[in-house]
Amino acid sequence: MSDRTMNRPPLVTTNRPLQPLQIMLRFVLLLGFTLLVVHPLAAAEPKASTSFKLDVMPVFMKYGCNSGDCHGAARGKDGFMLSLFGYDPEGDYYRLLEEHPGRRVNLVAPSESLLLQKATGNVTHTGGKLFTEQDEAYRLLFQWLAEGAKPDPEDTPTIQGIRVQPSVIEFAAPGQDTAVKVMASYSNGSQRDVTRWCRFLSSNEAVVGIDEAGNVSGNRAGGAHVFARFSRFTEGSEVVVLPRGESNWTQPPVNNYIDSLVFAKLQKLRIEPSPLASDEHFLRRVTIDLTGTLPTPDEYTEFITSTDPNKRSAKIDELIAREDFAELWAAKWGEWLRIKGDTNPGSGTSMKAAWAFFYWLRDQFIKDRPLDELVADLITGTGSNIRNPPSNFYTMVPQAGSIDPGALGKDVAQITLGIRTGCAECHNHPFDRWTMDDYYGWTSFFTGIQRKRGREAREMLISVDVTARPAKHLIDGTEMPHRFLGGEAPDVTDRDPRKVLATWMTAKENRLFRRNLANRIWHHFFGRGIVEPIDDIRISNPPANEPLLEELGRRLAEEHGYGLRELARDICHSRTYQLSAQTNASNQDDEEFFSHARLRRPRADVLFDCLSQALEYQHRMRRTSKTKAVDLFDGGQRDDYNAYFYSTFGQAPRQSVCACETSDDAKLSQALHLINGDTIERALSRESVLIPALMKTFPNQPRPVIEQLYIRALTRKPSESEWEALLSEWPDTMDVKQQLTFYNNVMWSLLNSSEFLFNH
Amino acid sequence: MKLILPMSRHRMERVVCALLVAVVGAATLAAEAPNFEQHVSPIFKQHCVACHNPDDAEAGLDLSTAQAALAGSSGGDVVKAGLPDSSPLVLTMTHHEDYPEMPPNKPMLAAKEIKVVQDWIAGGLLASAGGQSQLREMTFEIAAGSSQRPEQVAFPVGWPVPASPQPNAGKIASPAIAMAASPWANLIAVSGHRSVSLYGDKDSDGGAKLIGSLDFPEGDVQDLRFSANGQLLLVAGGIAAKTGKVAIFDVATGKRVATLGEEYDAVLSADISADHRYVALGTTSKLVKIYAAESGELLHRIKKHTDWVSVVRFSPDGQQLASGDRNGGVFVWEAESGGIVYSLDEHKQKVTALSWRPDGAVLASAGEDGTFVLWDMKDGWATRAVKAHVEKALTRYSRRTGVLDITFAADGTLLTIGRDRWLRSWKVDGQPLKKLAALEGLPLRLGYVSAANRIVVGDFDGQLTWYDHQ
Repeated sequence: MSDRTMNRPPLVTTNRPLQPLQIMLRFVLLLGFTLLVVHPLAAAEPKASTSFKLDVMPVFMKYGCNSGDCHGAARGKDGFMLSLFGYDPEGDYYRLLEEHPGRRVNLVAPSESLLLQKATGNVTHTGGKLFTEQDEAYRLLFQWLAEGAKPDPEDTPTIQGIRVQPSVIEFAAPGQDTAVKVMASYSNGSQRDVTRWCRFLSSNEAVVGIDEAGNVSGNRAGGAHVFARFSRFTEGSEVVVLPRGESNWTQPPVNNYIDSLVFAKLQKLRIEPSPLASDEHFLRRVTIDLTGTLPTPDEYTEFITSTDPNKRSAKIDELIAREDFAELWAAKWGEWLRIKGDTNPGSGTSMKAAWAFFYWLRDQFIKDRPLDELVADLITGTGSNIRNPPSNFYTMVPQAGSIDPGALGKDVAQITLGIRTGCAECHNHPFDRWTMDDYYGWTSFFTGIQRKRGREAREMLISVDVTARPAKHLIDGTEMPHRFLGGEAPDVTDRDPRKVLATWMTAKENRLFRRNLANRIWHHFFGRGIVEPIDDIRISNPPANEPLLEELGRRLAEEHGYGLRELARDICHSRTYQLSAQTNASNQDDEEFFSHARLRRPRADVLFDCLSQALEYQHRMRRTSKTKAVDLFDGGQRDDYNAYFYSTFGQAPRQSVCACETSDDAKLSQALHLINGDTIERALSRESVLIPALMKTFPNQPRPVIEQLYIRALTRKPSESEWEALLSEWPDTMDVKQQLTFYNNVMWSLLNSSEFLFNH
Repeated sequence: MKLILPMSRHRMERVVCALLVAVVGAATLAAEAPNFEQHVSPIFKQHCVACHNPDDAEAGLDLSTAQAALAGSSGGDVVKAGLPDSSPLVLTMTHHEDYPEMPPNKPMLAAKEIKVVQDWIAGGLLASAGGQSQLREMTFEIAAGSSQRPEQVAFPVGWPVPASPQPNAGKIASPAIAMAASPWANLIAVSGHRSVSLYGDKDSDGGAKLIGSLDFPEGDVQDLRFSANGQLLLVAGGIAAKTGKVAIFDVATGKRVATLGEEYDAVLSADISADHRYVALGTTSKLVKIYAAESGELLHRIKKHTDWVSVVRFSPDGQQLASGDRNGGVFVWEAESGGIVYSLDEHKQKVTALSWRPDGAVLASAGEDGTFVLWDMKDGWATRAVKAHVEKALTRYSRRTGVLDITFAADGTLLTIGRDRWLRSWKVDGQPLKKLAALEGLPLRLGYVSAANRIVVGDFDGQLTWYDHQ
């Protein structure tokens, strides 16, 4: 196409013998300092030509030309569109040169090109003045235009990745700063300093800031990450800002590997963990977390009075073995898998299908089925959704009238890998590594799935057309061969692609899969994932404790054989899990490193079950085989008696597979419902059974009755001051009816206390 | 300001045309087009008739006979003769997002089958072999277009000889952003940097003979037009996002006779009416503006387009003005009143060019969607939509679909260039005639030099190439 030389020397090649200065520079870089900033082009050899992809596109990225609120918007801006963050360089070249020939570039008088006139603010530009004629950006664009604005030759190197140096930054105190340097590596083996052309962001501006030039500043003590984005790559550096003063770390006792990893991080950050929680707090916390129920008065007494030094471990083992444990996890997965009945009978989401799917799931958890096998069953679900319940994966996750392979692929990635690929449907993910190629290669696994009506209306038959064509790329309709996310392209000829996918996914060494499951399990016990939110794992959202997540994933896959109960046991055994919610001066601001227990409001269904249990009252519920809210097979929304309670307390409406649908937020409407609503009112006043029974057992004896109520609601006995206040309200002259009112008021107060409403 | 007025209409009518009257008919195409009975019905029987039959006509549509199919559904016509890609029947079969997918819950029909249906529609909806075509018949009498030849054909005389060297083998210094061919002289005008160059016939080495050039200091040239009598040259352009102007030059003397417009962006397209009374221009402000050529007064400011107005062209008699935009919209206006005559809705993407047939009876519009449409100006009817330059990209991302320019030759033949880098010709009824030339660069502009019966193509690399038109 062009007659100029095709070689491209501006990149510093690494093959040349290193000069002493370069050796020193490398050494300095290894130490993590950037004493000398090498300008990307200062380091270059004399240029023969400027490249569109390597020189011009980075300018668009750096100055935000191709960002979502400017020309990167889906329909462009002010008549000119660039691909968002540059996902389509050839398209951008086309739009600059050939879409409206003669408008945007002037090859005869390059400086008069609208491109440069706009960027320098010489003509009206919504984006304002971006740079001047003296800037490097201008020089690059001008040079490219002056050379004829040629398309890049075929052999132009491609960017393979970037590296941010130093990879760990440690500030001895807030107020310090340093600069990061970003090196890009190219397919021809060369490297280039691209710091000048990166965009930077911080995961927590309060802790660490980073400016447009890559200067990092520690703002307050804590841990965070800074990220550099160049081309389609995002990479980060971990930043630790130490508090002022000396460390006075005293190593707390360690129960298992979890504690070692958590405390190592805390020691680095100089955050002192809280002390161990009391037996009462532990018992309440672990019972709710493992079984979704409260400890009974008998269990309370037995545990508190036991002198067995291993009683906590014994309790954990006992709770994990209960069926309640399985039910709780079936309810959680039921939400993630969107189990619903009757919403869309044409697609098979009938009551019968939902019922079959839920009870199949519940059975798997009761049998302690390894999670890899469970997920493989779901992904490869085939045949009748009534006779083979896991095939309901393809009736519940995609509930629309027809299966959209792209949407299904997104959901599968989010559930099984914790990854959101949605961005990459239309453009490369701006803050992660996923490209459109990845998205469509992944989508190809789902193009052949077919859903046909069975013999009866509620039955759907799931099958796979192995001859189905792969998904087509959005930009040009090219068929994208099946490819695993972040993995290779398998041969799926004449095979069910889902089986190939399931094998890859559930392989022990698939870190995406095992880390996602470990993170989801961890989240259950702490109310916060090591990556949070749990289903938005991406480079720019790194784990709060990388070694911890890595080790949990490894143990889950390699040592526990994907056994949920084993990992749950590890977690509950750890001192980290058993820490008090009481904070100290050093950890009161910590929200993410697990230095103390968090107050967590139980899920809507668990809270409902706890309320019922505390009052020993069977609420009227929609008919299911059991009597707990966690056993409602398609969620609580169709339980007309209590739907308001569930939705008020943030139960997932199952509109999507997003884990964010389940909310543990505290809201005013929740308080109002507990104060005035009929969930407590009916159980306590109108149809109370518990208090009259206690009164019969302990006539005119307020102490044992009140004690029972305290243990039932709060898993503890009243304190001295509480006893004093309560008994002062107990004149001996009260008749039975007045006594009943008194007890009702006591219980009502307990159930409305934050101590009841939050797991602590 | 004094403009050179063309001969009066009275005079024009008295010009006797010596050319033969030729009629190009549309009757020849019927032979090859698929018909319902033999080709379409078997496909419908297999895929459609179970729901769309006389007894159980879903959506009021019966596809069991040609007559019934033409009667349409309860929502109106499902097939439009000559317009396969905007026929609802095809849109449902190709799963267009605005239409229900047909057949429902089943894979799309084979591309081969869909093509038969498309060709049936394009070929005139024949009921059976030798049946009556539903296409509107299109004919053209050459005489009608030749009646306006002035007695004196304007040609540059005594222009200063430009200092710049003669172009080497037709290669000019900049992309051929704008180009115009004189309707009567062997002369073309091509845009340069803040200038316009005029070239005579191709010389012995295939290059162009530079006759003269004129300055346009107002900025880059975006559009060039000769007046209908060839005496005036319109230069439109400006500085993008800053100023826009239209200058009018006397072709014979090279003198600037008028400057019009007060735009805030480069003028994208301009034209002058045959009687030299009106100058129209199209801008990025989505407006069509009509100025009085003599006084420079802004007469009409037409706000109807929804995107940049990419092209404006007066009808040969100057009575009407057609304009096209970047969103695919085409309108026809009455030049004098600025009132709307037709809204022509067929293009899906940017309208790149408009060309009136010399007799004014047909308007051809070309678009980035790769099609050109022939509009009957009697009633604004879209008689044919022809996929002229549609090619699947060979490599990812590259774009090979789009008609970039269209023009009628004196005999009514249509000439087109496109992103597929072909120069093609078409019969008066839109039937393909010839693939005239495979082009090297991206062709931008096309001119038909009637005096030499030659075609000129100007491309992105600044190459001008001449082709003989048979």
